[in-house]
Amino acid sequence: MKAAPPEFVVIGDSRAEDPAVAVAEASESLRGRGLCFVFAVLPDSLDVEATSKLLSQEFRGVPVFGCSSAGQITTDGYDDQALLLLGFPRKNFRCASMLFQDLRPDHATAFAARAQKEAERFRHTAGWNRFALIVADGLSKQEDLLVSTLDAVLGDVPIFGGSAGDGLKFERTYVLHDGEAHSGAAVLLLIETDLQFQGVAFDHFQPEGAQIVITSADAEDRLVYEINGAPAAEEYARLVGCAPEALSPEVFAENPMMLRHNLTHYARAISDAKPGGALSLLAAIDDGLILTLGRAKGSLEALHEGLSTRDAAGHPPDFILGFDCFLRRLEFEHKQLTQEVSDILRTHRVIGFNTYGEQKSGLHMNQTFVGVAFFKPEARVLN
Amino acid sequence: MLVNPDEPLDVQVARQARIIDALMRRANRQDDVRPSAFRAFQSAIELQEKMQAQGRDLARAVSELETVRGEQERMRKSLVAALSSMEGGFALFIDGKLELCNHLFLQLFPDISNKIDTGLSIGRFFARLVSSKFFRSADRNLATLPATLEKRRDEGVITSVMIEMADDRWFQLSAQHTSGDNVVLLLTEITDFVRRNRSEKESLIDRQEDYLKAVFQTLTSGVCTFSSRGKVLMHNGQFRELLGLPASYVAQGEPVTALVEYLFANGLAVEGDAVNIEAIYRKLVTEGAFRQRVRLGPERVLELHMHEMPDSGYLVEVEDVTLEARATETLERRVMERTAELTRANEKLTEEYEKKARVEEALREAKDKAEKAVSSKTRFLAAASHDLLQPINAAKLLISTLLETSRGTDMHGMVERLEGSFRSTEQLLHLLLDISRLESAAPDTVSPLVVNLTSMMNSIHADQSLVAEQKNVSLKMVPCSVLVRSDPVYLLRSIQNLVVNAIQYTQPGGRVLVGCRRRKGRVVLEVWDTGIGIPKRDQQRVFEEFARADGEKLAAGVGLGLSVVERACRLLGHKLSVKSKPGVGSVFRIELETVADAPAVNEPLSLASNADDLLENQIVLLIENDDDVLFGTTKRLEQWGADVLACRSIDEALTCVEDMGMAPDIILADYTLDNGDTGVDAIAKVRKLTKVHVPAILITADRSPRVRAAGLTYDISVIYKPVKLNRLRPLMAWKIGQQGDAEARGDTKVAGDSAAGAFSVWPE
Repeated sequence: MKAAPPEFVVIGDSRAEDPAVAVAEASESLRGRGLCFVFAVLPDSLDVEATSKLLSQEFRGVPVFGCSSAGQITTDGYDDQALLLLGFPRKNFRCASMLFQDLRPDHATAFAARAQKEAERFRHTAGWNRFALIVADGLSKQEDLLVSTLDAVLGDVPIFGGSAGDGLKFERTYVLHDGEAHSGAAVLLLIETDLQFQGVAFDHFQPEGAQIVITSADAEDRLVYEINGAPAAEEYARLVGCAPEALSPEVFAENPMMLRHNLTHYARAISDAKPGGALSLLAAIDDGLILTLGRAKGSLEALHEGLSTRDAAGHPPDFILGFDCFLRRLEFEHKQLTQEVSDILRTHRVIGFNTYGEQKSGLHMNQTFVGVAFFKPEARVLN
Repeated sequence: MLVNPDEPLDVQVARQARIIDALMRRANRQDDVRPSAFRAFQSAIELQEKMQAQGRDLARAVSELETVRGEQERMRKSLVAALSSMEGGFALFIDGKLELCNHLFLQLFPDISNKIDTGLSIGRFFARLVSSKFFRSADRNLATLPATLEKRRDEGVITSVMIEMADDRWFQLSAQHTSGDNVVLLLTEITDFVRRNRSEKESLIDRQEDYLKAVFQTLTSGVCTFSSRGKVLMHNGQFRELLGLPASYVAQGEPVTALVEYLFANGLAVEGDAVNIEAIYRKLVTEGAFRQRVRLGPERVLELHMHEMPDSGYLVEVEDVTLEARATETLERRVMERTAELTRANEKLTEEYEKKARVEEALREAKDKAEKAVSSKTRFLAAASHDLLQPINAAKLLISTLLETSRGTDMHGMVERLEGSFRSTEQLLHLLLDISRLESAAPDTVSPLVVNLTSMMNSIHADQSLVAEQKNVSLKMVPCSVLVRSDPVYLLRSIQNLVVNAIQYTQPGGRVLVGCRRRKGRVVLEVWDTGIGIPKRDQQRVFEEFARADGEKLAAGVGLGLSVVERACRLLGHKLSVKSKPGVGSVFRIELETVADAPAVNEPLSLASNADDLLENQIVLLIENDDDVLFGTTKRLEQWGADVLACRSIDEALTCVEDMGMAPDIILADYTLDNGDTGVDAIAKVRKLTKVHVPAILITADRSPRVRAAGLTYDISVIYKPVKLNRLRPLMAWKIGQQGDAEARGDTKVAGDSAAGAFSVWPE
């Protein structure tokens, strides 16, 4: 049974293979709904540039933001080929956008200055709340620096976001800004809404495995050459108990390396084993770090629990905008839990996409679920 | 243990060294402040942790929840155990071979229980199940079930089959591929459910039957069903009542034949063919339904409907349509009566129509007669006017001669008055002639041409200025150089009549003004006077014949003038209007269509005023069959100094010319000569004889287009009787002058050649 559609976001999707058909089908329910902006999630099966052009033609006047993805979360749960359009109505949302092109470490300060200026200019509406959404090129390796810098300048405005993906190809990812597709770029949206919202973030890994010391790594490129003084891939394979040639995205998904900081562990996901035995990671890394191998535990329960958030009055969210790591999905698929996970996502009205990395409050993470839960605005009392 | 203990010791040592090295490097970099991705991450998590420290209490609450969750998990586990111990058949296949089969499964199939062993393939397992005598049926082919399962293995769905066993026991067999090549079969008993379901269905059927019976009995039409063998199955009371059947004939199982026989014996009659039950039944089978109207006794009419039933029996429905039939009959009778009435009315109408047609025919004949009478009247009037004009013409010539000769004597005044009265008579006759011609309304009465309004107005001024002067009325023309499309003769006559009329009704000392106003594509010719005016009520009447202003003395030629104007304008399509105020004056207007840049009719109006000299010693050949006219004209021409050859016929003329041995300077010929000859013939013959294109003028009272056309063809000027001498003289002079010019150019032509548009109409 399908739950009643969310009240405060208009959703359209299409599985058509032709961009024109997909845009026409997906945008049908969004027409004439008085939208502030449209957030588009593109599957890797559609040509990004053609689709974004068609989208901007379709929504003449309404800006279209978004990104390419490693999977979509539609009203039916996980999907691979859906063009997903989320229309945010003008009645409940206001928005300012920034495009950061040519992501480089030495540009971070300039970006932050721009964001700060823009945030000051963005007019406050009484009784409305602010947050920021960020989507960044998932292959740029710049999210850590960008998000932590932005978090520093935006002060008490919480930032949520996900890194763009391209299925499982790791070739080229895009972000959409005002109907144009960009690579090596990020889009920051400052959003003000009269809805109540809460940040959601969780994973399901416990640091229960063997300890690892990174003995050689390239921090800029997120590459690990050696762990425990031995070639990285080989040693990793030994520690997780599989043959080096059997390393696969599924194995990486189930056995992340976790970085402990004080009492918390952060997953450092592995995207790929490079020829020559190096491991390519999806989050910041440095040599000399001590990591612990993580073990998945109660993933479905963690998902259900993580999504069961309530507002002050005890009501469930109207919808949750979710940024879900593609590795989590791989793991679910591997464990044949896709249907169950989709059911849980649907029950909790999650829409969003599978990322190459998640951002929350200045942190760039892997193998987590980051989301923003939106609740019906509190009834205003007239006095 | 960080380093793989299986490695050789030296490798282990080297790796440990590298680990220490990396840790040292890291420790040394702690104070580094350059921005790096990892440092950004590190500072972000530090911030986070600070926030988390503040939320410890929250974390505790979460951990309590965690405990609850663990308990839930335990409960779930025990539930699973309980479920597995529940009764139900169970079989497990690994890699397509039977691994495990529980007792219940075997119990259900005791006859084959010894044939089901571990290692049996899944296909054979099902084959054995089917072969068991306890197996009755299944809603899905069990032989193909393994293949179906194989197809669905990756979908993770459960395939269910419902199996019927001996003793009305029912089971549901559920099969599912679990991970790998494992197949699990579950057999659950659902007998209770099936039976309950069935009994519900049966009671539903019973209820429906009762309901149907009740409906059957309450139907207003009689209904009876028969089996396919023609036995009564069921009927309602109405059926018996309508057909008057005793109950014994419709008891269940009675044959339809007996029933039918009884009915025929008791007054049932069928319209048309005799009833053949076999034939009816065949028709019923082929068409599915049958319908027949029958009579029962003398009064009642029944309608029979037969419908085939699904079990190839049939249903007969009887309806009493006596009232309906009676109503239909009444209606038909009325229709017939009404039709007869209408037929009679129609005949009467036809008769009347024929009568009317006869009257119409008579009327048409009468109209033809009347038209003929009118046209003969017109012809008579024309002929009469013509005959009257002839002697007046002669008299006028004589009077003019007399006037010249009596100058200075006592007679002169009298002759002058005589001339005046003749002039009036002549005018009257002209008007009569005009009216009669306009009345005949032949399409060629008027022939619109391009006319120069200026010259026309000038000539009218010249004509009328004397009359105006005599009456002491100032006549002024404002010439207007414009070309219009109109008939030159009748337009001239119309303007002239308006001017004459204006002078007539204007007191001495008054003024008459003629002018034009240009409008878009048109011109309005206006004749103003300061006369007595016309009262409003008379303004339209003034155009009628013999209408004249109140109290005005009868004056010459008046009364017919405006009538001619009105008729001419009507025929020419000119708009004629009048505006007048008694005691102030009147204005008459004729609206004409202008023509841009078309050659105007060659009008010989700019005549030499010294024409007198030109006629001196010119030889004029005059052909006129009327002696009086011939004499009068000759005298007049001679007075003008011309040498006149006066001839009465063509022959005489030709003889004269021959005797003379040279061509005359000009020919004046009357159109109508004796013996049917015409002046045109005479002119042609003279020209032929002399081989010279002698200028010629035709004098005639015949105003028909025929004469005008002849003039056009032969280059002959046409002048109408009675001849105005002051006109004739300049025309002759002009013609002779033209001839002189033509000769000088050397293009004199013999008659018969194209006259090259030298046609001219010469108004008097």
